[in-house]
Amino acid sequence: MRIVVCVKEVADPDRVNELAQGRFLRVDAEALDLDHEHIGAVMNGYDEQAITVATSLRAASEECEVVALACTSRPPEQLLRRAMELGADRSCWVRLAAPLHSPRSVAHVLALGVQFLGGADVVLCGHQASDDDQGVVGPLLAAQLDAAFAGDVHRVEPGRESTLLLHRRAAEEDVVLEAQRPALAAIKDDAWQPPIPKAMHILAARRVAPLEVTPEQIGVDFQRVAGWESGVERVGFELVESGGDCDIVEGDSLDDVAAALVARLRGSGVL
Amino acid sequence: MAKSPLSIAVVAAGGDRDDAMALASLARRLACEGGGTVHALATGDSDDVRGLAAVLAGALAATPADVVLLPDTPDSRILAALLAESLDAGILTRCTSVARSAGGFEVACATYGGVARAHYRLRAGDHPWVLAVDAQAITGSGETDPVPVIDVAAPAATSHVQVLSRQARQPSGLAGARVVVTGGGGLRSEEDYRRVEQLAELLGGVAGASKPAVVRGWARAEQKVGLTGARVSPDVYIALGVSGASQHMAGCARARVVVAVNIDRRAPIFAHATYGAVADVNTLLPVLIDAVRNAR
Repeated sequence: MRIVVCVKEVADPDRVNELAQGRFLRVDAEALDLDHEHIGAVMNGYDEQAITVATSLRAASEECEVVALACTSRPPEQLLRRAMELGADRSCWVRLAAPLHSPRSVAHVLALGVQFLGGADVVLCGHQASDDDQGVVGPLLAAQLDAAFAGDVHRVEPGRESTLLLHRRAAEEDVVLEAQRPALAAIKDDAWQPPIPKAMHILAARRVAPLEVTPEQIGVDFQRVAGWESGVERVGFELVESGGDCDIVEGDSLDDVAAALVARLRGSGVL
Repeated sequence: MAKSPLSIAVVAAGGDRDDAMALASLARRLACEGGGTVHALATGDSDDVRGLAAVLAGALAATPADVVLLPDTPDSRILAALLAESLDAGILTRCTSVARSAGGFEVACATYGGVARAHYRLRAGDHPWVLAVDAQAITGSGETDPVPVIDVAAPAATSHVQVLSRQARQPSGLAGARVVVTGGGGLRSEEDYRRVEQLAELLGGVAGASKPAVVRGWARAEQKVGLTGARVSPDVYIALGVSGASQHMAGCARARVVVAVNIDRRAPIFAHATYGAVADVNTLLPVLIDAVRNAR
């Protein structure tokens, strides 16, 4: 069985929040994006969760490999090394000439990347990326690959015959779905904590270089991609201002502070 | 350049139908500029979202649309993507405003967890667009003429997936709660989170959680408020030991009054709060509970 995990590098969301907290976030007026100068890049958190799910599925399966797949214009050395440290067996980079902005273009390239790798029984994506928050590449990719799809999945197990069990945490219920392979799951696990990388995986991450392929090699339809990319143009970018005029209650003791809060709650009509 | 007439479809699926119908006024407004028509497709829930998208795409083939609007909820976002693929359409989600412009649309989308907004120009005419729009962010909504609704039967079982088991979880009660009291990473222990629940109960409200309280196992996943959790719109939102990361604030931005308690005066939650206290929430909480109890 082959599991392909799609991974993406994003601006470190913790750092973005930290800078937002101090009102130090800046806009890159030329790129129409955040100014990334003081923001590091990390693997998207949901993609890390997806690799954890993939390695658990590998442990429960026979003859199974986990391949991390990235399509980006910037060399994703750190990203794919991280994927290997988390337990991926190998990695593949589709080397783009320029970043893609349309999720349809991204899904097209990733689908061809999966096919170039020999196909996949399971494709895992993060629930969404923490930069654009769009959350649509997974379902788009499932449709391109004609794969079963489920979102909000936190665990995948081998099922009977050629099926997979997708454990899905929906809004109000836990659902176990039996999906035919190939299947694609968008991973989201609110209780996930980063695993400590094993020494063997850290060593493998240093030893095994990513497979590097070009869009031409995998058969990207450039006309199609150009159509998607030209249909959407980013024309502005702004930071969202928050209020900032909080009424801070004070007091000489905790009792005073609590009394002041109670008075405000009364004024708000909840007491 | 003159604006050409548009055909706009609003898709209302399952539990997102109310939000979808709120988009009808946006659709009417867009259609009014340059003329056009609006219709809605209503359907139920399905565990096979690909099957659901296929039947909706079939219905849209019979009543073609230049723009398909869906509410920006987790389930509808997935449906939007699958519809975009079926219709060979462009797609954007997290839209907070949509307006027509010469040759297309101007759309704003929340990004980076809500700390920023990106503005896009979409070209119309080459292909349809599927837009997932935050119904609560659309201003100017109001009563509009009824929109013709086409009912589309949701698929029961398909070849893609089968449901093996289904277990209802205790509902969080966050949707529609008048008061929400949320505990976050500033809490020291599960006992402190239980006090958050106690305060919520005293105020006739519901307990929520930010990500750290869920990760530590004190609160259930469905109690998480935020970009990838519940979106709440209470009269009063009390954030206890919550830092106020943008991903969390995206879930409570519609609260009328935000009350914050945090030991760090620089915590971003205070930038969103109506009023608050700079204090160690763990020591203040028992005192606050007593004060609320005495005030009732």
